[in-house]
Amino acid sequence: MLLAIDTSTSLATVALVAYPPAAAADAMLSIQQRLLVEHTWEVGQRHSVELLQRIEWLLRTQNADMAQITALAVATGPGSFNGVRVAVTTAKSLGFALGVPVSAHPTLDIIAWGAYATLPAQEPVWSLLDAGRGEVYAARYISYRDANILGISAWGPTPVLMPTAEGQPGEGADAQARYQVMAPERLVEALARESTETLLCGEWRPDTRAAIEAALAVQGVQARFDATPRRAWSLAQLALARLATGQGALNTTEDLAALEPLYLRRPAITTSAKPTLDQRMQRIQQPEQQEHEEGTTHALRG
Amino acid sequence: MRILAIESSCDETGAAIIEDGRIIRANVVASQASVHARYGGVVPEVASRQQVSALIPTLDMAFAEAGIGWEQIDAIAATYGPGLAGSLLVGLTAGKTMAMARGLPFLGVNHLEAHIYANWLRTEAVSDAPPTDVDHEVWPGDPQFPLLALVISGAHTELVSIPHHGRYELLGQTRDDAAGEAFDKVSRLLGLGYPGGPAIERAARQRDPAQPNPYRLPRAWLKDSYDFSFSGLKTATLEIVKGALNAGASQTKASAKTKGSRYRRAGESAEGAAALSIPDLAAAFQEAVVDVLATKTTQAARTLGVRQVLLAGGVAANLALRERLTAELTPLGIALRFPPVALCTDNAAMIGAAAYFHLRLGERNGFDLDVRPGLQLPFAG
Repeated sequence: MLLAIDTSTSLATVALVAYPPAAAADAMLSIQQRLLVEHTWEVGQRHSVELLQRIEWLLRTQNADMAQITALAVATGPGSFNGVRVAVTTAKSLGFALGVPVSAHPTLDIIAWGAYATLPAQEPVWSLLDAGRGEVYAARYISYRDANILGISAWGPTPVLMPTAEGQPGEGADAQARYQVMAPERLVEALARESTETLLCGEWRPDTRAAIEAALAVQGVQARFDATPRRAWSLAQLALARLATGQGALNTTEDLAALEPLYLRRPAITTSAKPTLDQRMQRIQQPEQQEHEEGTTHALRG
Repeated sequence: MRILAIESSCDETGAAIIEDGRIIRANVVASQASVHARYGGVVPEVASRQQVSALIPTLDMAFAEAGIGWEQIDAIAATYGPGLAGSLLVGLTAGKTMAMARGLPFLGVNHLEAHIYANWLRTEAVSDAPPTDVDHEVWPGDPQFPLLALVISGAHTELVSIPHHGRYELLGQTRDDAAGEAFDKVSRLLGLGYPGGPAIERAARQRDPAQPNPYRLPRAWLKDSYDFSFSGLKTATLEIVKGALNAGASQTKASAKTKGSRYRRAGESAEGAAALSIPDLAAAFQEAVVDVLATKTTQAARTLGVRQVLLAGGVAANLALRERLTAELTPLGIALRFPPVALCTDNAAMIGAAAYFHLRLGERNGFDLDVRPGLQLPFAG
């Protein structure tokens, strides 16, 4: 069985999927028949507290135990830093303890694939997640209307670069640039360059949606919103497709060690308005103003 | 019993394999100190990210060092507090997940208790020596109850009476900065870097002990109490540095402008700090901290009538403290015990040691155990 784990946000989702196909005949099953059980719930910030018990429950519904897990799929973010760390750490630990392959997928890809699976094909699709500070994580995808993951010519939804004022950038551009942090105004500027109405899918707070709608109105741009919650089943499908190609799964300890969350944001090292003792001291020693990276430092813990 | 132990409370990622709570089969620590040195302290989000990166290599090295496989592991333990929430989350999640995957008992460990149990660890194999008094779990060479422990680290300064396994009675603690925190802050002030404990100790060793120290710093004795306070000492050190810099400031300002340079930290500054002797000041600071710690600990050991005193925590690595306490306790017939330096700073071996004494009593935690960033020792009464 393949176990899919996604705790990227306050919404967590896990699924068990038949893998590998038990017999050649199973391989011909519709992909839809591979889903054994799926569970999505509001986890809040209790990712590490609740995840393992939900996985145990999932296994119980199949009368199965951990030893029967033969592959893992994990959402790598972006999202809640701690939430993403729990999923990635769980996948690393299971991969290390069970010796099974791990297929890692960006959370925005999972959202996009979910949208393609449930909606009439449309292009383009933008995946969005709240990034805090009034911004969103964003990636742009073009339609995969003809894609057939069971036929396994497969792939995953690969984000394409966002249209710029200069037109479509070339293929050689940095893959990381395909996943971005954007303010609503910048997002809508990019949407304005799309030739058709855009589908925005993902999760956002009401105030984030309101900010995007306000920017759409100001710039006179059309877009539709689809806030269907993301599913571990979408993640599992991406993983099945990748595992079927025999490429891109994490198989060795080195692979697992190299697996990193997709944070998209640098760690916040804030500047405190009130100078600390040490900063006052530094000012005496360094009268010429210097930019400090101070503030959220903690002393070593016991 | 063979325990796989994980430590991730702050900026060290540790994995260890410990036998019977004492024998170290493997002890691997990946330190981020160099990453955090540029901030002069630990940045929580940076530490959490490093924990994720270091997890698998650390575990893999521990298994390789012990030369064993999963089949030889009987239980898994991980720190669940105190510490930084994001860092703790990584090690605890890993420990719980691997225990579930392998069908092994799991235990969350109190990091402070683990520092104390570092004193049970053995660096040399003594597995041939027959254990004495197995029922009460005493091996030859174990610390002997009743014990007094001085727990001193970057976040804690506590004097604790331990009449037997698992019982902790708080005698005194810091009212402001922890001892290690004071070392870090003063080290940064003197431009000596991070972590502060070893940096200050190194600087202090550079002075000629035969010469009188021009600096004399205050001690907070807090009469009739085993409590500690280090913030006044820190401020007094700051005032001395300030005074020296201001004295040299007027003449240096002109030259600094013409050379286009700027004032630098005290330790590397030129004319501005000519009047300041960093080794002398570091030594005076260290002596003041050690003086208070040693005096109060000796007093408590005498009052309680213990035969052994344990040092625990990162600051237990401080040589001046060890020497001073040994000198005070030996004439009283009290033995001072402390772990080797590598087991004083954060490590997973001590987690495995502490876990053993709980696991052998049948204690277990569920997979829903949460991190406890503010966890204290479980004080009695």
